[in-house]
Amino acid sequence: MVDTITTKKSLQLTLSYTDGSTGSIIIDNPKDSVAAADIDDLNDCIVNNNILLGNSNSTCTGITQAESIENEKTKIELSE
Amino acid sequence: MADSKLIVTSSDSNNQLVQKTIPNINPDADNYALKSFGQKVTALTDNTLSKVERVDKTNITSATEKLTPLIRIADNEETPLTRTVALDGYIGALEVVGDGEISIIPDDTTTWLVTLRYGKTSQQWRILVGCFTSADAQAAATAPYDIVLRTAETDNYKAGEFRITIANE
Repeated sequence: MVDTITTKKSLQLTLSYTDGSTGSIIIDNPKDSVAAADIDDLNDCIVNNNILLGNSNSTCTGITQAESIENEKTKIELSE
Repeated sequence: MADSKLIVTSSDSNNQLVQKTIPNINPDADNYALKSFGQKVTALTDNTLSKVERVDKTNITSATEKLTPLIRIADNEETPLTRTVALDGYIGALEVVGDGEISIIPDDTTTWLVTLRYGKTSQQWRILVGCFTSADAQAAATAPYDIVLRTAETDNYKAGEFRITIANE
């Protein structure tokens, strides 16, 4: 017997830095209506205020990718 | 790698608190910009923002390098010594050489949350957190001290004046 118990949704934002490295911020349970303007707004805040640092204090150049991710966790009932 | 982090606390539709910790925060980032950043991160969810907290690394050397000391008192100065300092917002640092006792007295009725970190090395650091209103926050401790002051209402990073008294042993 297979029983699906949870579905987890997240938003993964990929960031790039001046040294060529990348990083990410993962937002759990994003709203359904996330718009490109919301991401642009966050991107401007990060870049204009130099909020995030990377390796060797490299500067974040911005959000390069935004992906909506859904993970489904399935509980498998074991036979007794 | 940067050592500061930001803790963004929000509440979901069931009024459950949700905390998101974002590492690699620029230690020099402006607090108002960090608050705006926390708001924009929360805006990607259906949650309601509760508070944004910045946590700097608890390393005494870096902390005293990073924060400009409000007052600096040397071992050979006469004590008790009282200074009135103006704190412009969120974080203040205090560096004292020598062992002794510290008193912090705010000049108004605001409730202040005080974090006093002390110890000769980062390994010996202890953290004392007190909440007080127009009363002394005292600690007998081993220098150097590093002190963080903010209002208990965490969204209100108002400035204030404090009388700080240090009595070396």
